[in-house]
Amino acid sequence: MARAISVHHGSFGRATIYELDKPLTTHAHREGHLIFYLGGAKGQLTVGGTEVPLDETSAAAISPWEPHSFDRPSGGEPSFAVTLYIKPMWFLENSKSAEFALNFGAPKIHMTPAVETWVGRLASVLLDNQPSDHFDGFLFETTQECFVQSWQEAPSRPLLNSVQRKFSDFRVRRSLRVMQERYTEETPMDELAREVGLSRPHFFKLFKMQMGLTPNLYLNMLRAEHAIDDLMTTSKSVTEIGLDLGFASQASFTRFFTSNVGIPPTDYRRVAHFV
Amino acid sequence: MTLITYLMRVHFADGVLEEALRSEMERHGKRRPLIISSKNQLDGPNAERLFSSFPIRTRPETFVDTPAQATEAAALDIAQHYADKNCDHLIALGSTAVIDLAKAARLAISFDEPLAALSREEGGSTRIDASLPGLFAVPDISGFASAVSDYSRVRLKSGDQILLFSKFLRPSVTICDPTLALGTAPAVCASAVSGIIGRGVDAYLSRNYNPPADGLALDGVSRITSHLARIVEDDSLATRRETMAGALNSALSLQKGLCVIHAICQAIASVPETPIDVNAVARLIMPGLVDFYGDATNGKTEALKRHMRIDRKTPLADGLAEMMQGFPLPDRLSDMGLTGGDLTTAAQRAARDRAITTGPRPIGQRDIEEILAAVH
Repeated sequence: MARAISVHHGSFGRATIYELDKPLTTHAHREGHLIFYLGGAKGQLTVGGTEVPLDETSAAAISPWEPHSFDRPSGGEPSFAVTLYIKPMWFLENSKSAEFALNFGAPKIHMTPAVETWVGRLASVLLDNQPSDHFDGFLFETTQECFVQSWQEAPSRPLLNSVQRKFSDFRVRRSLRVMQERYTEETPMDELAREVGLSRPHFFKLFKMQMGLTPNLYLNMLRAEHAIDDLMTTSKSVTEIGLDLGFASQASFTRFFTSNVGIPPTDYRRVAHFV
Repeated sequence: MTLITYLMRVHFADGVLEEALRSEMERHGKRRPLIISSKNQLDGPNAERLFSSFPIRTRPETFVDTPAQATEAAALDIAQHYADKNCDHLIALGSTAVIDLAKAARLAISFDEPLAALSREEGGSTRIDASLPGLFAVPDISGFASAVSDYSRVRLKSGDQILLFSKFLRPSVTICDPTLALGTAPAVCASAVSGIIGRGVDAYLSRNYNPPADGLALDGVSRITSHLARIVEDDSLATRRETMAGALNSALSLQKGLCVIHAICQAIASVPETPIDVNAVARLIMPGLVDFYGDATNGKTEALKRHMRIDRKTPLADGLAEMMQGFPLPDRLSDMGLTGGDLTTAAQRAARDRAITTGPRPIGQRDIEEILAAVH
């Protein structure tokens, strides 16, 4: 089970301090991600097939929509991490390349003195657990420092084809639209596959090949985004939020939220601040 | 930066449509868009991408009865639809005509009077202000002349054509995604490229003083001509990106003001009732127009030739004609159904357009008629 020690929402994204005592399975989300080791047991992230140690010397940079997972020793002391979720707009306003506008250059970030300084300042704000005028600035500069470093060491990646591949199949495009329009309804994957003219296995294979994640993960991401937005911007109860998203009970929604966001929705609402 | 903010917010990157549109809607707090596009576009792959990109709780409406040229009647229909459905901003997906229409619709939504009262011809430009509803433009390869400009050409119910002009008509955000241009038909691409070259060349040769716009015009034509051998047929992302970059820069050079080529092409388009491709007209008259300018360009033709990789000894007019020869577009104005009488009317109208005065050499009605007659 994971526990959130602090969650801050700001203009460019959100930052959290998580206490993690279990691995996290492969998932992906719209936001970019930076994960820094803060203490406890060391771990390892797998980012699009590349392994990145999470320790005092290195952190992980994950581009929007890039599948990733977290592994750590079973049992023993928990791991503590500062985790940043960076909105796509940050990348659009700061990217230098028309070909890779929504990408970090490489998944491994070296903990240089400059990166350490910014992460330290950000962690202080998070540990204070009070709204702070400094949060947005610290989040921006931490991300910028890592972003620049990631491109300095980037090998020239032939991402051109992957951008092109992402939109090349009309059935996947159609399924993205259907999921966007119906993610609050219960739409079985078999039905969705049929609706776009594919068998379930073919649909899963094609979707993963083009989007880098399964349709289930994509749908979960849409629902988790909606849930976080509701928790942060409405006074709806957790039960109401779950029911609006098509869950039969608060328990099933809480299970879903915990496995996708890392902590239960009640905890999220309790510790999260808007800056 | 892939976000360009010289005049306005322009996102330019491969595959940027979804995240840019979503992020901008969130930034502006909008959830009730009215999407203006042709039926073909909305049935096509780009629309699927558009609809999958909205923020949560977005309830989009659509308007697809878009005419080949922006009309007051369609703008009024959109305004009614906008009010009936309680929309909070516009998204225009597609060509210059679609984005021009969306601009006219912004005025129809904000003002209770006929569009003609807001036209430049009636001195209405100064009354257009920041109160217009937001417009997010997503141009296809032939949408740039409107996607980053201050202008909109609209045909009234009476059949007359007006020019709407104000910096507040610029879209709130323009999203340029080269992947949207993949699969563009060669004829559509050839038309767009002709427009890009025509705008860039005439903007650069214009007497108006605007050094940044000169630089943009030169870069626009240079990007296009460096890929010209394959630009129409090659559907690769690299070529489409370069074409869109050239289109963007050429359109941004309109900050020098509308030019002679615009005055003549739009005058021709205003005459017949059937739609005319103004870019195809530009392709035919550009060489004659440049030839007419002759030595009045103060050496600027040399710079153009260098950027367009035209041999020093070849006259610019010949270089341009050769460059666009073989495009899958009509080779004579008569092939577009235009009569000699149409051309006389067009020349009269063009000679009255203020943009006609921007060329390096004064040009009158008779000069225009001669240029048109040569390619009729």
